[in-house]
Amino acid sequence: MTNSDASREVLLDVRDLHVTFGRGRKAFEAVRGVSFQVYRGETFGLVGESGSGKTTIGRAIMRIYPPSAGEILYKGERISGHISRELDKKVIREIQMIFQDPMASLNERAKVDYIVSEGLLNQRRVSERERRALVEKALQEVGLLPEFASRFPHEFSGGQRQRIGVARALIMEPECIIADEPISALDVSIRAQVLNLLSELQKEKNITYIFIAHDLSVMRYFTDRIAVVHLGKIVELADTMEIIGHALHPYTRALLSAIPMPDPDRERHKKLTVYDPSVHDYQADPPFWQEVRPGHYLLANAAEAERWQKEAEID
Amino acid sequence: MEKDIILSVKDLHVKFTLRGQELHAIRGVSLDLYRGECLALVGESGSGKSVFCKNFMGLLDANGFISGGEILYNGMDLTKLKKPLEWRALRGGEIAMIMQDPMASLNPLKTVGEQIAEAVRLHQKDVAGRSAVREKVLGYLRDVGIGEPERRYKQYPHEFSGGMRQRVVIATALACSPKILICDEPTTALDVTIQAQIIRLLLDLKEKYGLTVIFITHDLGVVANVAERVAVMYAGQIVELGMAEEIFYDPRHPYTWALLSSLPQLGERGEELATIRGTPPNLFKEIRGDAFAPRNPQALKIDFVMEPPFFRVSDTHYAKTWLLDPRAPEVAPPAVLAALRSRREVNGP
Repeated sequence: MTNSDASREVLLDVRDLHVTFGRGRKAFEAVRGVSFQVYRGETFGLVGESGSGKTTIGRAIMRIYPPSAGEILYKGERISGHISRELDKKVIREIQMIFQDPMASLNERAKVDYIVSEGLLNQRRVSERERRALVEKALQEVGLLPEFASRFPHEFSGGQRQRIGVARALIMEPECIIADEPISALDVSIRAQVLNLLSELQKEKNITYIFIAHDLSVMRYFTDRIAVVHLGKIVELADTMEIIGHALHPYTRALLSAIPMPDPDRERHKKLTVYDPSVHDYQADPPFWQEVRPGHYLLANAAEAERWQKEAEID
Repeated sequence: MEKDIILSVKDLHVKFTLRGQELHAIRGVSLDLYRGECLALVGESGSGKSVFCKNFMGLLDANGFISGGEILYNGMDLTKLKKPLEWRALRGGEIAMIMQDPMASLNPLKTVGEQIAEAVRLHQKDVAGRSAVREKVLGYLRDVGIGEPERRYKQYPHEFSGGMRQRVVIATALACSPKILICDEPTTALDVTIQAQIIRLLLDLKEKYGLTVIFITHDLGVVANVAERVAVMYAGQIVELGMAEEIFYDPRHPYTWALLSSLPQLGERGEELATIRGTPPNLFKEIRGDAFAPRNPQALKIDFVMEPPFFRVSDTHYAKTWLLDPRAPEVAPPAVLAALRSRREVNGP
């Protein structure tokens, strides 16, 4: 992969995004100034622990939460705040979401047929015949049989239900899919199936993914670039292999050291790194967003950036 | 060195009655647990790993029953225990269990300190007097890595984070001074960094208190970290049993192969991950032959007809697959696993 940003089309541009819940003295800022760009056709990973704000970022892009400051551009057009009805419709169609728990995200009272085509009904007039054909096509694309359309969600296993969730997104012919922990609620043997399905669809349709997860081992396998989120800020952003091989921020390194590997010898001699936020001296010397290597961004002050880079060379 | 068997399960069968039908959840499992070891039970959901361990504490659901076999502990057959009073002597004090969701294991209306103190008073009769019990509880809180134990003692579970709550649950289990600690997916609900810390903690405590640990999980990465010995379960049976090194570097059962090679940790970007096609068998029906055969692309003809026995690979390593029969054709494990093995040969153990 090259880093010549100019040659790649920016699909999504998040600029200094803030999201605040509540107001006045109870206000809580879940996302505190996040900027990143997502290129067309790539898989962009947002990784962090629970409470880091990674899901909130995803939902702000989906326009579920309004940003309290900053803006989000999609294909160069602003999609945050008040936008025209047409653009609204377009964005709803082109950016779709896949949820974490397939047991909770499907309407238990509706048949698969309705669940999959619901988004379509809100978008445009489709004839009954066309609708059925589209549902059938979407189900086939995710590896389900067309006759499943007349069944209810409870008749399916977790992996199949997650496929229904993917079909529901696909029927809209999206350009970008935000997948929020799409495999963490699934059984180990099913995880690989869903990951394979997502990458096949990407190859076929050139879909851009924003992949949200807490687990760097899945990220390493699945994403092109990774942004590490900690307490509402991105602390490090780089190509996946760069993050895995040359992580600089101590939080990223702590996350990496926690990946459980199926290798007993290595696991038993592993040194566990624990991230302690008090190592930063940000009172006197505040951190800033800097490019330390081509395409590798880091939130740090000058002294830290230099020290961490030296440490990384020794390792 | 002769190993000291603390718990011995012999040909255990467990069934559930569900809507007039019988579900055969545990289909003949035999297992010896050695004193002081950490044994991991691995398998998909529904493989019976939790149900198997619930038998050791008499915690089967009301519609479940043991239909055969025995569980020997201290010369007692646990399958014969019926009354709650008989179990009470065992639960906590001899065998304790840590569940997946710490919030569901804790009482939200009692302070954390009181809950641990309750366990101390019930199970450690020699600790007398309020201040002695309190001192003991503070000691446990310190042992499980909870800072400022005096302040934390007076707090309620909702004031703790997920990882801290799980530490409290562990402290409560320790306060019962058990011999065997069963951990049922104790880290599944937690973040990866917290998971790594809790596992480290459990291993330290195992040494300090001389515990025997059974660790139930579906995550083979975690297994590599904790287990000395691993039992792989599928459809209510143990299909492979061996030391951790044997299971990871020299697995013999096709199901173990499939589980290992589907891990994203071993996958390469851009390449397809190995998957296990199909779904686990329906345990309402009688299973003929090897339960994994319908999902195994390399299954032999005999797999569909006759159930394989346990074949011995080494003194500690056994696998239930016809591939180990001298008449079986040579079937090589997937290539990703060879990579794992060769890395060991290069780096040395």
